[in-house]
Amino acid sequence: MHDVGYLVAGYGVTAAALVWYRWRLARRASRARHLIATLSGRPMSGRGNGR
Amino acid sequence: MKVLDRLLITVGTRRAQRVLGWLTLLGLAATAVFALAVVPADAEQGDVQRLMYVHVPAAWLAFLSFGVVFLASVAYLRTGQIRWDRIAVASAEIGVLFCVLTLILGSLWGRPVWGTWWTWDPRLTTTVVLLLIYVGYLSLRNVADSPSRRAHWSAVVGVVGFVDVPIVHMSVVWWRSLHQEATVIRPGAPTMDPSMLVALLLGTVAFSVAYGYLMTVRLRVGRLEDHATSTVMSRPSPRARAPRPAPASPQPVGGERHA
Repeated sequence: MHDVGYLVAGYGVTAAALVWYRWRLARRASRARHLIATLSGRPMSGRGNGR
Repeated sequence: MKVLDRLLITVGTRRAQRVLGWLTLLGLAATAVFALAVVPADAEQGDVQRLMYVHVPAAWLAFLSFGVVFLASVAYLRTGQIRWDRIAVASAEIGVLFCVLTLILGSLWGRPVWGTWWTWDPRLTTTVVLLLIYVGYLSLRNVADSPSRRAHWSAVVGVVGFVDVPIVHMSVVWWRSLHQEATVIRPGAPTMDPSMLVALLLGTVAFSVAYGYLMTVRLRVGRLEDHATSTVMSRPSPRARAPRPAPASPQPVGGERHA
């Protein structure tokens, strides 16, 4: 039974780490887009790739 | 070089990213189902051995990420092109994430099997050193005051730091270790049950696809952040925009008083 606890913790941590990093990247992208739009005086171009 | 450019452009499109994202989800879900429900439990360790199907792929991904940092750093030092620095830092960030994950998963596996959360075993110690090297790599980037200097210093650390990767891999051979020896990447055939090997390979492929997906997203974020930084830098400072005081009216000739 204890083994299952370690297993759930391991797979849970893996999923949480991947979701957290993806969420953090999305937040960083959104912040950068917002900054560009504010400074350039142009409306935010949706989910543009910033190229 | 042109092939890499074409590849980066292709995987950088929104559609390709979406496809990679779905492939990542599918791959990780398939790995979880296969590892938790299909493959039999280990005869000695029981169910806890199933942590291997995420622990080993996470370690592989950390090695892969740091390998890409090494190659991109060498390319930067040779060419001086800033895009190599962008690739290196993106890969280092992902590598640090998976190196931390490797240590946590190893600790969770070690507690019931070894009877301890942590021990200063050669494999564990060299892995912590590896993590510190790349945390240092990322921290160093905040110290340098110019983009070119930052890229140059980082590239040097990216090349030198990679030395620890083969040391981590060989640590279980060179020193007496509590950690088990390599069972797949070793001379001779893998010493593992075929169904376990299939689950492990599936996990490795799924994590590699996840790496590709995270890299494309991280590179896009890097481009956006660079664009934002250059937008900030190109704006005149508030002092430069403030109206300058009118120059003092010229004194009439001979109007100066001397004490």
